[in-house]
Amino acid sequence: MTNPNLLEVSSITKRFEKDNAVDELSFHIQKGEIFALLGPNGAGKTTTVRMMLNIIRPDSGSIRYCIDGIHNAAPSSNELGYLPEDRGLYREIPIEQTLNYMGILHGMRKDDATNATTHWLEKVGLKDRAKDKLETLSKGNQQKIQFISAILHRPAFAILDEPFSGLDPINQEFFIDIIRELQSQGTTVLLCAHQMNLVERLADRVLLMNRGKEVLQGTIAQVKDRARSTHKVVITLDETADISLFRDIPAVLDIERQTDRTLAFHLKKGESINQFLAAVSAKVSISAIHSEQISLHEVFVQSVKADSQDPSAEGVI
Amino acid sequence: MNKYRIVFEITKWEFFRWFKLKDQILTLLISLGISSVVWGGIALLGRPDREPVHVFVLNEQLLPVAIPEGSRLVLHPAPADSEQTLRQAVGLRQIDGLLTLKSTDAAELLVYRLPLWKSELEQYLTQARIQTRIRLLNISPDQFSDAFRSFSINVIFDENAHKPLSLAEKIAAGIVITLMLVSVILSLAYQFAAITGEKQLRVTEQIISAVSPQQWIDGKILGVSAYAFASLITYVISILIFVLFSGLFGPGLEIPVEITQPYIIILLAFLGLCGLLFWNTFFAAIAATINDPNTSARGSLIFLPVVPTVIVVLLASKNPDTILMQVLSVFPVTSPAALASRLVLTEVPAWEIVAAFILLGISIWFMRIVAGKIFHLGVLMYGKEPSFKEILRWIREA
Repeated sequence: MTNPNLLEVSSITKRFEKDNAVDELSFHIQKGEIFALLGPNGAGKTTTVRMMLNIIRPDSGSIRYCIDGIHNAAPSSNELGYLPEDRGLYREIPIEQTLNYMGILHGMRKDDATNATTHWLEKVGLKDRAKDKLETLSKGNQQKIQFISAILHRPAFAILDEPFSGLDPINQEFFIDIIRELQSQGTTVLLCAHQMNLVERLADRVLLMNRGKEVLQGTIAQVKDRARSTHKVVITLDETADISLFRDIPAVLDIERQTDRTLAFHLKKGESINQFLAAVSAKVSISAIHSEQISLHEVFVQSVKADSQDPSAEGVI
Repeated sequence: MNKYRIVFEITKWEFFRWFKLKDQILTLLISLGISSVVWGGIALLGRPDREPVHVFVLNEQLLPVAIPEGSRLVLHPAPADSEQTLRQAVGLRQIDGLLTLKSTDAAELLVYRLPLWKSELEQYLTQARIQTRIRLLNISPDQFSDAFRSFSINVIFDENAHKPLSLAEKIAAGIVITLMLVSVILSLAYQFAAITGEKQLRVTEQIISAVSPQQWIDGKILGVSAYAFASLITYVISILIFVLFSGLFGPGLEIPVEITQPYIIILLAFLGLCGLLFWNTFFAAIAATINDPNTSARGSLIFLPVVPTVIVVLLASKNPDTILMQVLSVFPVTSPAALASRLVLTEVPAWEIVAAFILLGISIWFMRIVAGKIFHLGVLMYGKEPSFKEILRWIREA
């Protein structure tokens, strides 16, 4: 049984001067899930998020929340946590004070904010730095403080825009654990990120946007299944060969050169691998071969490329 | 959370973000130090040298000089044959001077250094000469005084006409306006840091996901204005310390009686606060449109309040009771300065005070809404400042 929807976005459009930043976009987020909003730079993700936050209003369409059974156009401050992509906090003020303040602005009582601050600083290993100014912390630690400021009040819905940017692999893992912990405690998460490998590990469902429109939407498995290519075959040749040699093979969607003698072939959905291999072996001598399912990253790149090349390619799957 | 509580929390945060008690105490200590040095120094340097001055007088019988009690001058009649000895004594700095009376109108004074007491001695010699002349003319001192009595005119001012302003009143008005202006400019600098600085630091977007832009701007306006008002009080206390020290170490500075009246003090305080709120609402809106205060030409608008204030001060010092000054006293842009100066310099009818506060209150309320709207639309514009045309469109929409 699926969870009820926490957010329903219906046909929202936002136009800035001559460009449609967001164009007839619709999606929903179920309560308790991690939903990833993906897209290249300029796809309209931030505009969509700002409309969801009621910072800007859509020109048309509607956004409706249902938190704790109450329908609303916008969540209250204690229900929402937001980590913007363009972020920063008060650099010259002790982090403890800043976090308490952010907690209070999100509707917490002073004592609760203080306790939550202590809890989270301890959790991220910065309890001893509570009285330090933000500017004295490393970039990674500043990122942790910024993250805490967004979820200190245990929001029902957290929007995390690029939470992993600028983090080393250790801290990325740490943040993945925290996001999972938030989800396990009942927080619904909207994730905007470019690290597809991390999104693939975290997200229950994704929405891929390009040029303000939906390109793909669904669970990770559904999205991969709907992609133009579902399999990638990596072939090592005995001798180097030109990519153009293989363009005429009907099963091939795209080819990328990995090394001089190694080529990765993205096969069109439903095409036979056997027929493809027969076609390749008829042209060159093969020394090694392996096949793998394409990653979310590859789905992303393929889909955006296809959408960008073909204006009528909306919803290509 | 209650929206008023949010505004209060933002106000508190902004106030304590800038207000540092130790800075205020330091300001007062500096004032204490300056007052001590200035007035103590003047008292010390101005204190007369109380060492007796010994002057020997040759031909003393020509003009019998009477030295009043308390004077440091000590005159010693000397015989004529001691002149040479006394001249040598002056050269050896054993005595301060040798006065040789040539007649009742002329004398010669031999000294070894500049006689700071010369004018005092001349005064006594003049007195002695007058006494001698009176005796010679055979008239009594009373007749003499009566003959030389100066003419006296008793000046009465028409209560309905313009009363000339004393220097003390003008200085007091100038100080009141200057303090208000300083605190306005101070608050505007902090307002820029609070809004444009946060925009640059990318703090704003996260905050306005939690609170409404109107609550945010209200809190900032109130917090920064409260800080500036606290600074204004510190400045006033500093001035009072200076005035107090002038009385402790010297004759004391004259304070116009008008600004010692409790109701005038309260009115001036309210005017100061309203002026701060008015200009802060205006500059909060401007600050929200600025992307980088270091490169934006709009940063110079911070000095905008100076122009009407200087004009008001100049007009008020000439005549605070003109119709123009009355109009400026109720017009919101100029009323804090104009009404404040008129309260110090003249009698202001109650209706003008009430009208000024009502109009100022309405203006502040309207401006805060406009500021909130501009802030809402302008604060997320990174990299590009909205044009004045766009701002005007936002104001119309507000």
